[in-house]
Parts: sequence; C-alpha cells; structure tokens
Amino acid sequence: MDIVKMENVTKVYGENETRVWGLHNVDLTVKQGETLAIVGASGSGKSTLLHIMGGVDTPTSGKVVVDDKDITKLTDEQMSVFRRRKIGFVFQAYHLIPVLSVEENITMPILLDHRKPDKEYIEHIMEMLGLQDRRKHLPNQLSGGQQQRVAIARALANRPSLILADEPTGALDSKNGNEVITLLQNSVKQLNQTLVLITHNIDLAREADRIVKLVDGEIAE
Amino acid sequence: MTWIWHLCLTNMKQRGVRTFLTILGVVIGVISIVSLLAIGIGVKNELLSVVESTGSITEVRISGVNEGKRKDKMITDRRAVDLEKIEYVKAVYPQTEIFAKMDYKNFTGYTVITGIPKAYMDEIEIEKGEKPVENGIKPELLVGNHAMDIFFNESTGAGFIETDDDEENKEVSDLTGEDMMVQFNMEEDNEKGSRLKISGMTKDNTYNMYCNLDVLKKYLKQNAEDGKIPGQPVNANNENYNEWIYDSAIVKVDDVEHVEKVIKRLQDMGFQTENNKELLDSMQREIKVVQFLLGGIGMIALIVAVIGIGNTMTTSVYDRINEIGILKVLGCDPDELLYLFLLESGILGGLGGLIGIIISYGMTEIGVNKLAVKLLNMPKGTELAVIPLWLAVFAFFFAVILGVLAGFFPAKWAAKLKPIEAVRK
Repeated sequence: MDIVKMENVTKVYGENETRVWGLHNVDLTVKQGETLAIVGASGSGKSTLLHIMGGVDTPTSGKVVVDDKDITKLTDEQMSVFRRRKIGFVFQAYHLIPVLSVEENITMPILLDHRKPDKEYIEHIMEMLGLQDRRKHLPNQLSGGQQQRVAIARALANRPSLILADEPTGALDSKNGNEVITLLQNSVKQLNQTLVLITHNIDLAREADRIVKLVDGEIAE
Repeated sequence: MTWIWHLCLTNMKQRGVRTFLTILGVVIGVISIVSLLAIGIGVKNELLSVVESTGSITEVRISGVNEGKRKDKMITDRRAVDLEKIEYVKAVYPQTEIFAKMDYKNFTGYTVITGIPKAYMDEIEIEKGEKPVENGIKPELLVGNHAMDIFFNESTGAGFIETDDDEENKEVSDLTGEDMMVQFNMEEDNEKGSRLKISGMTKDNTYNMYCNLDVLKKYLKQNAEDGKIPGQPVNANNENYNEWIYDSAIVKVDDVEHVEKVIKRLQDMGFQTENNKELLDSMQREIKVVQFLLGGIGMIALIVAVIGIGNTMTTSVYDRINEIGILKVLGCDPDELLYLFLLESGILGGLGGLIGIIISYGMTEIGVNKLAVKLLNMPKGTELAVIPLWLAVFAFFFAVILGVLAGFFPAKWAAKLKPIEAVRK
C-alpha cells in the first residue's frame, strides 16, 4: 500500500528573473512500513521535498496524496490537524520546546490533538529510547544526542502514518549519530512505521530499504 | 486547553524578569489611575457631605414678612396649607425662630432657637440623647453638635470649645441631660430667664438649636407681657395678630430636579428663598474639572503601561518564533496559538491590575486618608480618597482588556506565520 504518492510536484521560489526551481516535476511513492533514504547535494531540494510531504510547505503545482488524502487541497486548519495526526517530524536542530520537560515535550503532539496521552505507550517509547531517567529534565539539561532522542520520541508519540527525519544526525558526532540512528530505525521497525530520511551519510542510506537521489530538484535514480 | 495554560504559565515563570517588569508597568499605571480617581471621588464626597450637612438640597427655606400690612406674605398655618398645594412640593414645615441669650456655667452664647413641627423633627437624626418633649410646659432643646462653638466667657473671652479635633469637640459639646439658662428675645431686654433641659444632640455638624414648635408656642404665649407674645409681630393697633405668624418655613421638594421650578414659584409669590442647590451645582462643576484632570494624568500612565505590555508581547513573539514554528509543525491549531498569546498578555494585564488595585487601597488608606489628612489638619476620619467597588472592578477589567489588546497584534502575527519559515528562524 502506498502511504505517499507525489505526482508532478513542482516548487518554484521567486518570480521571473529571480525564479529558482526547488523541485521540478517530481514523482515519488513511499510504501507503508518502508524506510526511504533521500540523498543529494546541498540545495538539491531534499528538505523542500520532505516539507511538502509533511504539509509544512506547499507545492507550486502537482498532487501530494498522503494516507489517501490530497493534502494540497487542505485549509490551514485542516493542515494542522493532518500534521498532528499523520506526521512525525525529526529535525537536525532537534527543535524541542525549551520551557517544557522531556515528558511534556514528548506528549505535546497528543495534547495539541486534545487527547489524553496513552501512559503505557509513552512509557514504552521512553524506555525504548532510554529517556526514563530524564523525564523531568529540561532540554538544555540534556546532551545533543539525548535531545535528538526526545525529538524522536515526540515524533513517535502520536503513532503517525509517516515519520520524516531531516538529517537527524547532522548535528551529532559520529558515535552519538550512529546511536541515534540505530534507535530511530529500531523504533520504526518495532512499531511498523514508515520512515523518510534525509541524510548525507552514505552508510546510513545503505541501511534503508530504498534510496532516492535528488539532483537540482529532480529525481536521478 | 490545559496545555495552553501550562505552556503559558511555564513561559511566564521561565522568563521571570521580563514578566515581572511588564506586570510592574501595569501596576504603576493602575495605581496612578485608581488613586487619582479615588481622590477625585473622595474630595467630591467630602464637599457634598459639607453641603448636605448644612441642609438638604431638596429643602427650600422661605422667610416671610413679619412687619407692616403685607399679611399675604406672612407665613401662617393657612398659608402653609396653601403652599403645600404647589406642584412638586412634598411638605411645608413652618417654623418660629426666636433670639435667645443662653448661659451654661460661666459661658454665654447668643443664638436662635428654632421651633419646628414634629414631622420635621422626626427627620432629624440624633447622635446622643433623645428628641425634645412633644407636650409639656417647657420646651426641651435638641442641639447641633457644633452648637457650643459659639459659647464664650464674657469676662475672660475664653471659648467653651478650645479644640480643633472634631471628635473631641463632639464629646465636650455633648451636654445631654444638662440644663441651660435661656432668655428669649433679648433685644427687648427681657430679663426673665428660665431653665431649659437639653434633650439630645444631632448628628449633623451644625450650630442649630431646635425645640418642639407646639411646646414653644404654648410656652411663649404663657410668657406674654402686656398681652404681647415674645417674638410675634404686632398690627397697626400694636396688638398681636389673631393667628400665629411664623418667621420662616421649610418647603420640601419631591426631587432635586424640581427644586428650581419650586424656587421660581415661591419667589413669584414674594418670598425670599434660600437653597443649597446652586452652591452644589457650582461645586459639582468644579469637581468634574478636577476629576477630569486627575483621570487624564492617570490615563497617560496607563497608556504607557499598555505600550509596555505591547512591547513585551512583541519581543516575546520574536524571541519565540522558533517555538511557535515547532508548535505549528507539530500541528497546533492557529486559533489556539492566538489564544496562547492572548492568554499570556491577558494574565499580565490582570495580575498587574489586581496588584495595582491592592496597592492603591493601601496607598489611599494609609497615604491619603491617614497621613495627608493629618498633615492638612483635617478632622480624623475624613476620607479624601475613596475607591468604590465599581472603580476596583472597572480597573481590573480595564487592565485585562488593555493587556489582551496590546498582545493582539503580535499574537495575530504569530498565528499567521508559516510553520517552516518560523522553524528556520
């Protein structure tokens, strides 16, 4: 089953002479339970592709269907609901909320959806990512690797259809990076999640089920 | 909704210094406007109570003509009944005013004793003792609580009251139950005096001395000399008229609004009128100007505070663009994000308002009503500043609403940010 189906997706920045192609007629599908690695040089459109897939950016033209829903037709409010229910994001810069504790950061997407967190499930995720002893800590009391683990836990908290990770190890040294990526991949497998991952690390990419390479906004198989 | 409250309160706690400074700004604004308005209200109340203590504003005092042949302008019982028929007039209380020389121990006072009907006596509030007797052969006196101010020792010149303190004055003046030597109509050198009992003291701050009209009339008739009653006018034949001639009357009007019309009518009839409304009107005009000025200064302070909240909210939004972006990426509803920021600025305004009101109460009570009143040598208990409940409630909601308004534009801007742009910043 295809969880993501992108057809003819184009993203253009600026107008006329200052026109820049972010993405150019991209067609891409992602299957349920699959791990897809996106590689490419800086400025090749990797992040743009990921953001459009996750509904935080909109394409200039083309169709994006996620979980059988064409997200290019959604209003701002509907898009918010879509993001909090279907998508889990992991960013290079962690992007945790600085004033909230580890546990509060992890449960935030559930609270934003006006639901009560499933305690057992949250415990399970924290255990899986080795965060039980850090639940009351604030993000600035954690190391980079620990912060990224919190971000991963947060992305998993809502049991989303799709996890999107934008260079999750980019800000970490190789030891911490490997540890985090192993945890991410293990968690995704254990919970039967779909993962789309941007990375510069070719070793990491090889562990994925499939690799897509972007060159100047176009897919080069 | 709980996460909004949680995030809002945590944010305010974590950014404590800025929260404190913003609240301080609102507190100062609220204190200035509330205490300035409170002084305006207090001063107004004090002035009004002064006016009211010298006579109700719905009362018009008319004086009759007691000499010559203008019998139509004399006030008699029949005339009083006629006057009562004038539109808007509630009641007419004719009264007899008689000069008297009074002696108490070594002190003497020259004053006027006013005989008033029972119905009017019933309206007077007393502080000590009781109302004068309604029948009997000798009148009893009800004295104003400043009546003794005019008593002095004729040989040494010392006054009976030697204090500036209102409470002390009242205590010394309270002669309830004591007797006083009274000589009526001293201009005729009437040496015949009699002992009259003081039955009580009024609540009003006046020099007045009252007694029951019927008792006074009976008493004066008994003390007539050569068939002439003290204080009563005589006709061309040098005889008293065959009905009682009053010196004045109190005309009670049903409403302040109608006082002017009734005064006009009475003047047209040839009576001289006295009333406090005109004095009150001019006083109120002046008070309004003062209140407007005071309120204006306070308003400026509050506006400065509002700009402060607006400034805090704007920097708060800029500082937290990244956080806003994260919330948006995680799928936060734009309306809820707006609510989050409005809640924060509303709480800042509300807390500032609440603290400001509490401090204002303390400042006006201690700083104005105790300290300033003492420094200005005003009677104890003078309330120069009053914060009515409505002012406190108004100030609170005003602070909340201004807070929310000050936070509105930054909040609106935050809610509209594109998630990915916000995260990148």
